[in-house]
Amino acid sequence: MKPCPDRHETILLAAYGELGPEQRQDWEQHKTACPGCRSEYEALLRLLGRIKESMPVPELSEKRASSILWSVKRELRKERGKPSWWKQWLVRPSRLVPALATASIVLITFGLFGPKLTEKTSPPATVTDVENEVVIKDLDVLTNLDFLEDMDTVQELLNVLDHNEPT
Amino acid sequence: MDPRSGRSIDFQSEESLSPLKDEDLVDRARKSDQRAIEDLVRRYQQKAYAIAYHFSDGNMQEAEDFTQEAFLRVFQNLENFRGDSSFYTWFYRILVNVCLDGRRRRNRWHKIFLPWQRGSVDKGLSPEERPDPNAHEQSLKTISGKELSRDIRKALESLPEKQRLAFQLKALHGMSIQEVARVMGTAEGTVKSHLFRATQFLREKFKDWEEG
Repeated sequence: MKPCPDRHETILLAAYGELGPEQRQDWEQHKTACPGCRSEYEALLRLLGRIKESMPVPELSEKRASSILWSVKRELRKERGKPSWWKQWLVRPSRLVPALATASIVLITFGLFGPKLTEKTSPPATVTDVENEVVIKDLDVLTNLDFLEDMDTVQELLNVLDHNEPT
Repeated sequence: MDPRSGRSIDFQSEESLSPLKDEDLVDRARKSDQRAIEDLVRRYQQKAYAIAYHFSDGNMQEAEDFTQEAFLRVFQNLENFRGDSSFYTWFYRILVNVCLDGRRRRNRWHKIFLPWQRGSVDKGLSPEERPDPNAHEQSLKTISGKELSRDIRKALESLPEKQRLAFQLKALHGMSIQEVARVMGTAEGTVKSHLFRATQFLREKFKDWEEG
C-alpha cells in the first residue's frame, strides 16, 4: 500500500523526529487512520535503524584520545613559541645580510648603467627619409592635378583678356 | 539518537566532564589556559572522531588525523570566534571542512598516483570488505553485517556531497536539522531537501531489505 502523496515530507520528518508538537499530533492521528503512511513510516524507521547499526564507530581509546590531546597541545605550544616573521628578522639581523647585499648590488648597477640606458638619442636623417618627403610632395601634385590644370586655363584666359584690352 | 524523538540528547553528553560552559572554557582557552583547552578537547573529541571516522570511510588513522587537525584549527582561530553561534556548531563546521578537504585531497592523490586502485581505494574498503566474487548468488536475506556495511558505504559514496553530509550528520550523528544547517552554513529548508533526496535514494536502493 502506498503512502499519501502529500505526506512524504511529514513521514520523513516524523522518522527523523523533527515534527513540532502540533504537527506530531496531526501526524499521529493520520498514522492511525492511514495504513499506507504507517507502513512507509515504519519502513523508514527500520531503514534508518539498520543503517545506523551497520555503521558503528569504534570507541576512541583513552590512549588515542590522550595522544590527540597531547599532539594538539604540543602544536599549539610550538605555534605560540614561534615569534612572528618581523620579530624573527629583528631577533636575527644576520638574516638581513643577503637582502641588504642584493639591494646594494641593484643600486650600484642602476647608478652606473641606469642613465645610459634611459638616455634617448634621436637618430640622424637618412636618405630614405628625404626620398619619402619627395614622394609625398609628388602625391600632393598628383591629387591636385585637375585643380592645377584649371588654374592654367584661367591664367591663359586672363592673358588673352589682357592682350585684347584696349590701351 | 532515538530516531523517534530525533533529539540529539547525547550530542553534548561529554559536557559532564567539566562543569564549565563552553563559553567560559573558550574565554579561558583564548588566554592559553591549558586546562580549558584540555576540557574542550575531551568534551568533543569522541563525537568529532565519530564524524571524522565516517568521512574517512572507516580509516581510523585518518579519522584521528582529521580530529586532531580540526582541534588545532579551532584553537589557532579562537580569536576569530565571535560567539554568534555556539562553540560546538563552529567547531563541527571546522571539523566538517577539514574532513571534506582531507577527503578531496585523498581522492585527488589516488586519482593521480594510484589510478588502477581507484575502485577499491576510493571506497576505503579493507581487504575483507572487498566484494566476494561468489557473493552474487547469496540471498539478500542472509547478507552479512560487513557486506551490509559495505553496501551502505557504497550507497552513501554515490550520493552528492551535500546530500551525504546532511544525511550523515542527521541520521548517523543525531544532529537536529537546525544544527546540520548551521554546521553546513545553509538554510534549514535546503538541509531538508538534501535529507529528503538522500533518504529517498537510500530507501529505493535498499527496498530489497524490506522484501527480503
